[in-house]
Amino acid sequence: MDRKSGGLVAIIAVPVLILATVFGMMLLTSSASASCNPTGSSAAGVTIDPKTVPDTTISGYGHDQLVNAAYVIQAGKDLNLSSRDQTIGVMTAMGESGLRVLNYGDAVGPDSRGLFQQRANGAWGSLSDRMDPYISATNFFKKLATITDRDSLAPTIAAHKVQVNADPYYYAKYWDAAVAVVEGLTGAKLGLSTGTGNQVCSGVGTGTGTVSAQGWALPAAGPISDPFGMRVNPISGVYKLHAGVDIAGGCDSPIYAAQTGTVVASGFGVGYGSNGTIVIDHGGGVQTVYLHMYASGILVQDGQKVTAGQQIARIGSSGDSTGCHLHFQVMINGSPTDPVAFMKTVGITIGG
Amino acid sequence: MGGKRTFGLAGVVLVTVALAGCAGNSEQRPTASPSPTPSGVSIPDLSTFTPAPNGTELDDESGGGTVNAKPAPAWDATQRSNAIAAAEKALTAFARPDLSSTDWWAALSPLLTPQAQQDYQSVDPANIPAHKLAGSGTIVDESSTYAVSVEVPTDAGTYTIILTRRDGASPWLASRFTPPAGTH
Repeated sequence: MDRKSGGLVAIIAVPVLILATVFGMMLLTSSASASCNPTGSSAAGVTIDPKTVPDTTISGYGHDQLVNAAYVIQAGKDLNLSSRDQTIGVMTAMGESGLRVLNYGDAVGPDSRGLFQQRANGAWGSLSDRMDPYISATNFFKKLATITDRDSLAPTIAAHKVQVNADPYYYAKYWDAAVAVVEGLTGAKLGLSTGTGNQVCSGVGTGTGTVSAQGWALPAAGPISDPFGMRVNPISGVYKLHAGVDIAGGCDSPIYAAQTGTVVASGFGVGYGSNGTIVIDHGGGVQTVYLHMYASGILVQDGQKVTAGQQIARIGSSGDSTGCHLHFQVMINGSPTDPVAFMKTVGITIGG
Repeated sequence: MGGKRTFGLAGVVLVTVALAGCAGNSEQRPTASPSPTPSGVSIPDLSTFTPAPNGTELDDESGGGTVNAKPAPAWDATQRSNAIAAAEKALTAFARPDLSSTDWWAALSPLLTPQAQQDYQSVDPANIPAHKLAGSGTIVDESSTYAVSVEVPTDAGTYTIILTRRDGASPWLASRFTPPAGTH
């Protein structure tokens, strides 16, 4: 699905969304998020004959390990999976075994074996199956393929749903090396960005915003489509405070942290209704709030430190929204203030 | 994750240095005289703004409800002890590999943020290496009063738990259980 149709689905779905449960919202999110992963020829499975792997080292993985990676890649290809799926397989094997066919397990799974540390519970075949790079990878991919919304999940979450391991975020740190190994072995450019192992969108990188002399950054470029102040809500028709400024940047365009701080809330249902939300605490009683991103457009996690101008999100239209825009809010000791006036004092002109 | 965090901290240090570098030039700022917070972030004089008064009704796009301003909580002995207790409680519920998935989730999920509820729902508790706490928690990052990082020792090593809260009166909810190195 391309971005345009994703946006269209979002607009049509908004009235439904208001009445829907969180589940409904997540379906909408899913349909919008697959669009930011590689599509077409760049997503088609890539191929490498394990017998032709050169005697080299990629990202610290030597020849024997790269041959095992090649078996993983081939197993994914033979199941007609995408290059993103294949890379998820390599990432998982890196995290489980360092791309080695281990004949031992670990404390929680003494019976775990092979590249993917598959258990002896019958779900992963015989011992020889689990110790076979190609067969074990095939069984990994068969389960991965049952996760039909995996393009709407971060690579590490997709891998976790196969492995059901204790830390869903564990595999993210292997993503960049997996991209390098798959590209290095196959000679293909996958269209996968590094640093996206814990993000839904693997095909898009991030940028940096401009920081003012006072150390603050414009949260998003675009005209002001609705200012801070009392207004009639376009959906509900009720007269209440619109506590932020709406910036009509395009769908998927970057959102930057307005100032250095700590992410103290992220996701849905975290205090700002059904809107996809990020809250950054800057200390001194000041927080900035960013609303309406899809799950795929939220690029930071709770507790993360961000710097002024760092890209934290992509503009979306989740929650109480009729089209892609950023609702940007400045909170002083828990009370919203006019963000345009506030930002002006720190050298930032919103809507400029 | 580990790398990202290091980068984030490095970024804070860089900005701190950058701000310190221009601290002597505050007279050049045209409209405000920012007062740096402990983290070195430049915050303008807040008395020049007029936030919405308490009780103002918020529209749905802003999240609904009414304005209910609360001063930012400050760290003190009670606040720290509450945060540590919340981390220990969450990890105690998490470190139950002996429970069925259903029972484990029923006890754990109310202690999690909505995002963590999504991300941890597929965990098979049998794969959790820790069975019990092996000591008291220690705060390792309190640079915000709305998010805290607490290390808690277990029989499988030390976990790092990130918790967040809406405001000083809201409960701490666990966002992340990062296991000891070498486990996953």
